[in-house]
Amino acid sequence: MQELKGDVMSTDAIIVDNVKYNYGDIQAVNGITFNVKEGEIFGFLGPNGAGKSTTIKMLTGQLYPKNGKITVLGLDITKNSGKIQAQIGICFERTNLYEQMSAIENLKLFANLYGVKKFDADELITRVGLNGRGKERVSSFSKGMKQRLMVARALVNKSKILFLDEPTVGLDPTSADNIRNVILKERERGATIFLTTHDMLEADKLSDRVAFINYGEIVALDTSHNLKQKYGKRVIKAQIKTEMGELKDREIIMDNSNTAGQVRTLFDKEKVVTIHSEEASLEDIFIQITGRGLTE
Amino acid sequence: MNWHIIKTLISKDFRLFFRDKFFGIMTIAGIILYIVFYFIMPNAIDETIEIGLYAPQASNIFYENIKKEGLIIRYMKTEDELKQAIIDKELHIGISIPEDIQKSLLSAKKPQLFVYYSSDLSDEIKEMYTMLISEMINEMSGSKIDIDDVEIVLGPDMGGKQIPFRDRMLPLFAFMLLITETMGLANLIASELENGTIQALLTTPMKVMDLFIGKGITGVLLAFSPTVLLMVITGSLTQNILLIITSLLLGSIMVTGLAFFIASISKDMMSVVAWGTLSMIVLFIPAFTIIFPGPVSGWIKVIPSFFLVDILHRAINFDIGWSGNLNNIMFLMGFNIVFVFLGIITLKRRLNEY
Repeated sequence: MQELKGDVMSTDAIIVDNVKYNYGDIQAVNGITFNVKEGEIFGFLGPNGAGKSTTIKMLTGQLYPKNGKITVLGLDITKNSGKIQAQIGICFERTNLYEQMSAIENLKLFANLYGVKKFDADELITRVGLNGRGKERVSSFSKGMKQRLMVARALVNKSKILFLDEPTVGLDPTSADNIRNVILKERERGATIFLTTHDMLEADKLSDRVAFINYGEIVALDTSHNLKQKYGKRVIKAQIKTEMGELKDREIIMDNSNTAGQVRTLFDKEKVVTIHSEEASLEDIFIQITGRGLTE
Repeated sequence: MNWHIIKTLISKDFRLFFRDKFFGIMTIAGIILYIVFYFIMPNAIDETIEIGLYAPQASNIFYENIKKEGLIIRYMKTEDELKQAIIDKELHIGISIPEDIQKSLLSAKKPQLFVYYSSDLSDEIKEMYTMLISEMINEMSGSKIDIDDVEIVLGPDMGGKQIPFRDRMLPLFAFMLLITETMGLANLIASELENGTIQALLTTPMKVMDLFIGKGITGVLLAFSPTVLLMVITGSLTQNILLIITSLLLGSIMVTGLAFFIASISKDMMSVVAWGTLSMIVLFIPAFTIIFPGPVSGWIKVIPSFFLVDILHRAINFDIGWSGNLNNIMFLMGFNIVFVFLGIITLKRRLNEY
């Protein structure tokens, strides 16, 4: 996890106050309240249909809340969506590029729409690892290349807040790592990052704080370290060999009063092949809190 | 409203329009083909009538009598030759005059003539020929009814200068170009909706109004430019220039509204083409009434395109100016408001789904 810098985080980039949204009878978002600090990477996690997309749409001015208030960069989203949209960048979950245009043309188009002067498309293309492919039509790109271009497009206006919806989905490990570095660089520049992802390791690695959303409600919000402290159980996992030669797993919960005794007994009575300690993952914690998995 | 954003959007749409192989090629090929068709079609109408005649015993005086303006007589050597020419559709009508006709006429007997028609002649045409033959015989027999007929032409006198077929087709060509561009614009918008790029656009500083103005200007330019080019190259912009330009501009606005509507109910290119073709079939009907003139049924005047093609036809082919087209202009403007309003409302509803 990245260290937070107190002076940078002094103000809130996003304030969400008791926001609700419904599609007819379906309550997509039900009274969520949270804030995202300036310069923070905020992980927003939840399974499909939990209300993530609706929340992002409201935060980016695509939908207006039916109840409650959203303040982005100090402005009320319902009254200033245009001003806010000029200062944010969005990487959508769904690939929505102009396929008949080249990568550079796509980036220049959006730079023009944002009114960016002295825009260097090549530099951005290089940053996301698409060097030498800028003049090719997007229709010839692989899914991963398109995803990288989506991230690049979100960066054209050097926005104050970046909304990244599953930015590494479909990428190979190297490319995904490249995008994570881009995200960290953006945070270094001072951008606030609102990140949704299914990749729990990614959320854990990048996010300063994470929020779990389930059935339209925020069920947990804290740093991943604190969440693990609060909900997670550290365990010792061992693999033993029986007299018949079979391999079996053993698990000992740590931080109990008799953990040391259990470990001693294990080594005394069993033939231990491997042993290691394991921390609860965000996925485990989400399941523990909600009773359902993040990938459902 | 942000003109910088609108300009960027228009430039992007034009680039995408001409990168779409189907609509890009259709537009360019359409302009070229309609112009080529126009110039290879005859620029005059043959107003002469050719009649086959077998009259072995007729005198030179008889031949002199049947000569009429616009009438060409092809003399046949035998009656069989005459019949064969009609069967082969070389001629549509042939007259066989019996050898004893002059004798019969002199002795006040009723002579018998054989008139041969080709099988594809309509009853109306047959009747017209019969009247013509009766008049010829009357002149030959010297019993022509002595009356003074006063010919008065109401409207522009087109006698001897009939409108060539190609000029009758010009409003149709113009409308075909307009409809092609309608489908092109509808496809551009529908694909933006389908691919989600509209969502990306609307999360920039672009407002919905900028989007509508940008798409509207793109649509009008795409429809207006090729039709004006067609008019210029075919030499049709020599009279009533402002009226023709205005009507084409109004037509372009109307089809842009239609494109918005088609885009809002379509999911992909195939459905755009399907809805576009359906609209095309209905909107083309008035243009066909100009190609094949006759009394225009009242219901055709309910089709909005009638007012556009009628203005073009009157202005180009009859040199009728603003005063003679005022009603058409008013109706066209009324339909424009309806189409644009309907297009914007339906498309805005579709946008709200995103």
